[in-house]
Amino acid sequence: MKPLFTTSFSLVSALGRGATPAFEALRAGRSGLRRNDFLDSTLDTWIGRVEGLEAGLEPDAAGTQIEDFPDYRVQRLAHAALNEDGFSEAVARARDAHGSDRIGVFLGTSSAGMLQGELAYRARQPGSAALPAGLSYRDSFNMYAPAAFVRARLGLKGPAAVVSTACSSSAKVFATASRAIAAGLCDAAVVGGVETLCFTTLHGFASLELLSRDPCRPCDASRGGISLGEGAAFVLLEKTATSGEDLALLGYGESADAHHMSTPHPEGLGAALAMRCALERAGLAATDIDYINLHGTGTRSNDAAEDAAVFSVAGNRVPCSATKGWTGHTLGAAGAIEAVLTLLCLRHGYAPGTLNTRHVDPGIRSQILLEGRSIPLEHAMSNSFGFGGSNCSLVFGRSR
Amino acid sequence: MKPVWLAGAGVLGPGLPDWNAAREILLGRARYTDTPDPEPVPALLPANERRRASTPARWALMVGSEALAGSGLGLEEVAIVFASCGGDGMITDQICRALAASPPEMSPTRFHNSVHNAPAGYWSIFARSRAPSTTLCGFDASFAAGLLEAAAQTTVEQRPVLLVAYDLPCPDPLRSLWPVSRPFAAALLLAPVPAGNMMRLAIELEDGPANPANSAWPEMLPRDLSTNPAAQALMLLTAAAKSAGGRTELQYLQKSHVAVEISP
Repeated sequence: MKPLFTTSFSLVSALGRGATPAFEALRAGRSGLRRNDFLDSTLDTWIGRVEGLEAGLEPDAAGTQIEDFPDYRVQRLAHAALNEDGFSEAVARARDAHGSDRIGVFLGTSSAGMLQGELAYRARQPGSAALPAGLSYRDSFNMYAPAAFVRARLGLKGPAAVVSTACSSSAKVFATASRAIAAGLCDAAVVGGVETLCFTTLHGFASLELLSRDPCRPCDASRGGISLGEGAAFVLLEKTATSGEDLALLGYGESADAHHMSTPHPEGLGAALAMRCALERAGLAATDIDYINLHGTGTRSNDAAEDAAVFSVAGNRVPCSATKGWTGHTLGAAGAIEAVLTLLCLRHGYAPGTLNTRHVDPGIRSQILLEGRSIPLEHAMSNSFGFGGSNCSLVFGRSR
Repeated sequence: MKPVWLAGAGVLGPGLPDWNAAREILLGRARYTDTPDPEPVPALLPANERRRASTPARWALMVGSEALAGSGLGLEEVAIVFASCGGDGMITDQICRALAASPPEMSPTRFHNSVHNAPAGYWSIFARSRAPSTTLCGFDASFAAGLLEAAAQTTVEQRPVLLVAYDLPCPDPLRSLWPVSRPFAAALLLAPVPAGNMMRLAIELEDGPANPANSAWPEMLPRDLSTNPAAQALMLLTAAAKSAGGRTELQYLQKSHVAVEISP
């Protein structure tokens, strides 16, 4: 495929607002995880919560608000990320260059504004079946919610959709955007992911016995599951570079596991297929990859299956790490958040370690970094795998 | 966009048991008779799996396998784009009720069935297919959003792509927020090159609202089906049913539409 330049990106996560504090936290080994203090949840686990979302929708730099949109947590979170890292300004520049109808919006989420829906069900009056008045279905339960908000907020009129494929959602939007641009539906695209904490995912993963009681330890011999997180990340994809930086999306690969709804294929066959497709599209060999940002959730089954896939594709030559010990597992936003972290690593020539992980599972054969190291990075891969056996692998790197 | 070709179709809804029957009705050669909402049991599902697969998965499997039948393509040979506005409203309602209990409750099966891509997961398991699939939502324009992605994937990746759109009614109180009262699903198999007597589809995203003359709801079908986002497919299929084809304009997001020029 033709490279798509990542001309701007922004990030809000448990590591703070903006890409800079996130990268500083990566370097310093400072986790964003805390003991679960999400609203009135009593589950014994750790979470990557974004500070300050309890505040109302903040006015943007121009002092305007979009009154058509309620300020549920998902819109607040999306809004926060649009305001970081000069992202909205970069989109305004792209809008002038390409036209608002030539920029697509493709976002990933797994729960959209489900939290608001959960709270509405809770708030029903005893004896009454009705939901509280004024709840907007489109902006809460509906998966399109974050895209409706972001498209309006950025003043874009091109094609738009939400990809909702559980934890691969916001990795797959890079593939969707790439196809839309190649097909001529648009010339540039805003891609990203938005995911808030909610009770469905907290209790859902608890019911599957996949929530860790301690901060998650991906690939550790004694790993005990995931730490959930929330966050939003956006990337502007364009056909030409607009600044001195030459970082680009070089390839994507997608596959299905055809195995089980909530457990990955034990040999990682689907994951390996996605990785090989991404390399093929990028015109690269596994030996060209300098760093892999693993999906690395911290569950027994994910980390073992992903290791089998990585080892089958790249052996143990490529340094790999998981960053969920910093951010938590942000589900539908994980693909975009880890894409941005991978871009930051490429920019700074830094491969992070795997936070909280002390003893790598002896069954894991890939090269798992426990400590971060500064190394020149030309090409890096980011993996995302989701329920339903939905796999996506992305390759980023320098394009000249 | 470069054109794509329609290599197969599947339809399921009240009074619309399959594409052949729907085509006769859309062409005015057969009378529409309303029926109770179908409860599909796809042959693709082994008997012991039928209870496990979620309701949207059964609808998706039913129309998807119909569109593939007769195409000469195996279930595992096509990439798939699933498109749904509401996903599984039944499960959303069950989960929200259980979470509102004290203490909150959750069933693991319900949780993994709640993901928007649950039908995609069941499809890949039962079809034994590792081919890529994606699952989209474009609110009211979910069918049109799916059509754009399926057509883009067909032309860019030069492979056959199956579009499967479905939307099912929610129980109360969700239904009061999202007034879809009848279930519907449709599938279109798109091919990058023509074969046999396939219809040609030229698809463009255009500014402005859809022209009412090209976006009329087929008058012989019940109005209460027209609020189902997946039923947007029926406007396109009306043109596809005619030997001469025709132009359809599908309302897209705010002030834009997807124009589909269908020709032999």
